[in-house]
Amino acid sequence: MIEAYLIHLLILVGIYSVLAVSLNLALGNTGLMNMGHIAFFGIGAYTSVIFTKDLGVPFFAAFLIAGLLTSVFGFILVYATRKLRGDYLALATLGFSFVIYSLMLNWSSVTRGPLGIPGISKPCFFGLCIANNLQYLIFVLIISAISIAIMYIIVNSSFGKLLAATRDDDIGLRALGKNTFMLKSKALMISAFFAGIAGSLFAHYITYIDPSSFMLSEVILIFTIVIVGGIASIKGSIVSTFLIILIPELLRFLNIPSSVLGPARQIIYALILLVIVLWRPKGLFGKIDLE
Amino acid sequence: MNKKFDKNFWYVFGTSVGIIVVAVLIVMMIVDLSTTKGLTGQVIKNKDSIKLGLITPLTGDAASFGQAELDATNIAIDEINSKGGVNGRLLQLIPEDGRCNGRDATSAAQKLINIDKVRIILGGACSGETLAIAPISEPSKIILFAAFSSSPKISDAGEYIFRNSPTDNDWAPIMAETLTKQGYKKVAVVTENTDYAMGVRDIFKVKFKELGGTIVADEVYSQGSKDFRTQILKVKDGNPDVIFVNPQDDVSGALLAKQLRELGVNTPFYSAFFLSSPKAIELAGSAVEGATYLDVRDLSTNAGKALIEEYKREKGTPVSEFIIGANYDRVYIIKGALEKCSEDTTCIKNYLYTIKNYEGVIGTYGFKSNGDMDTVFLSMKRIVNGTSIVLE
Repeated sequence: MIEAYLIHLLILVGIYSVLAVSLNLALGNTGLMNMGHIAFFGIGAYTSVIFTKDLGVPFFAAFLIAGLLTSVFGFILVYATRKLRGDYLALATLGFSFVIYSLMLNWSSVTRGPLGIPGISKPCFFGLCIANNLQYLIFVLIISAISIAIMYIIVNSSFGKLLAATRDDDIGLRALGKNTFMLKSKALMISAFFAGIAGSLFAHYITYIDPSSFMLSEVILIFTIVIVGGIASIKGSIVSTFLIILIPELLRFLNIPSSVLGPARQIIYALILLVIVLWRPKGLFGKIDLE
Repeated sequence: MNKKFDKNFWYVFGTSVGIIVVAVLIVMMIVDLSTTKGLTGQVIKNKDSIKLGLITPLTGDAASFGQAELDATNIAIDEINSKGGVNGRLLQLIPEDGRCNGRDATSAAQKLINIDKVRIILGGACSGETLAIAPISEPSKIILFAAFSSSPKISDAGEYIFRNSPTDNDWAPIMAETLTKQGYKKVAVVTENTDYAMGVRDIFKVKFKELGGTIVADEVYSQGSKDFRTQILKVKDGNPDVIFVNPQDDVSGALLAKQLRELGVNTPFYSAFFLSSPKAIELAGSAVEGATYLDVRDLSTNAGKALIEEYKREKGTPVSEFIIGANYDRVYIIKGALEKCSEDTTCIKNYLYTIKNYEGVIGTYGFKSNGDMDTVFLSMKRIVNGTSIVLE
């Protein structure tokens, strides 16, 4: 049935839209070039799985713990990189994603290392378990709607204006007596929290995780979503998630000769992205250029 | 002025690229709608064919294996179709890119099952793909048939899941037994940190200790490492009788072997499959002379030799003869099942479990009650004068 396939894709869109909007909160709204966002996604996924599978914690608790623990990592990252900005910050946060990747790979007593964790259970609430993908879709939609709404409110609050000011004129804001380090750490912790719960949703949906799901290539994927959608635009990130997740799926329906199938799809995909970015250099709904 | 020109240029460029893309897509769709051509150029009608899905990495790091799977599968399907197909119906292969990860593999599986309505999926290749597809295919009673995944976890992933390739559980005990038989008591293990190699290591350690041996050093290096001095010094400290070099890929294995010898470790070493690669032997040179390794068997059956000849003619040198053979066999096993059961997967499942002495190109085998193959096609080989010879 076509519905089952669409439901599957919508679940992915739901999960990735939370991930993209949360990255946009740090990258677009606060100007933190955070290449370590995929590490937050991974920490969330592993935390949630380890807590439910090994420690027997109920799903919803593990789900929140995943978000909170990731948030703590967000603070650690922002504290460690507090003196860096721009390209240097990008490199340091990229380093962070490699550190987390190595941790997942080498701490095998907890993460099972490269073997990954198979057979992750679907979420259960007070004895009621999610039995099929339609229910999971509803669950994901509720969570992502709440998450995106919270981030929307944050961005449009006075706190959000301060974040934008941090991005545009850090020194000016400090001259006005604002603690920009606190602002940045709050922004990154919020961003990390939502990336963490997105990771939890992802792990319990795919039911199998291994470190390679949280590698460098995935950083590029979520950066693509944010940049195509437009920096600092929540609407843009959501629309772009649809495009970035669904275009490769549409390409599955082109019957390309099988000898060039894989590369040909990738090339067409890249061309489409290129056209979009050339057509709207600031992204679909972007208003700001990042330096 | 200049800037304006630039802007115009990019708009024109962008639009033209867009037009080209759209044009290409339309042409492809028209070609696709009218006919689907097999490799032999024979026209297959879309209607009334039996669809088989294939999920394997067609892009990314593991793409060379995925492409080999696809090519071998296509050879078998073309042969069957040119002889009239199965019960008068032609086979139609729908390949999908699983990219060696769970997310893309699940998307591919959802598409194959729900849109193309395939009842049989060949794949996945990487264990991560197979383990992620299993929870989707099993409840819908879809046959999932892997020819490359080695994770032991797949054995109990479901009733409708089969494979005709050796698992980590097959490799490791044979290695441990061989070493014990040769009289080695103290072994040093150096492993690459990847799913296959770590799986072998875990099982090997348990088995070797069971047989009365001791592990004097157990070192792990990260994927793609080029420098192994730390690990080698620890191996030296342990003073082993024998070293088990356990890499995932040929380059790191060859470099490791080379550095072992350069740092004066002259202990004999054993390894698994990587030395079958000519590249490894070339890289390591005299360092691997006399090394013994466990490998999947070459295709020694007549049909197997003919297949490899054909593959070389059409596609070039195969990455592994065994992968080609296993993929080719997989299609013929499914063909047998389809002849008997049509697309009734419960019937196919029961039929596959009854197969005991199937004569395929990789040898004669059947399936165990967990869907794994019941015969293990592994053999010991040794490097002598720069070429590998089969020991037993």
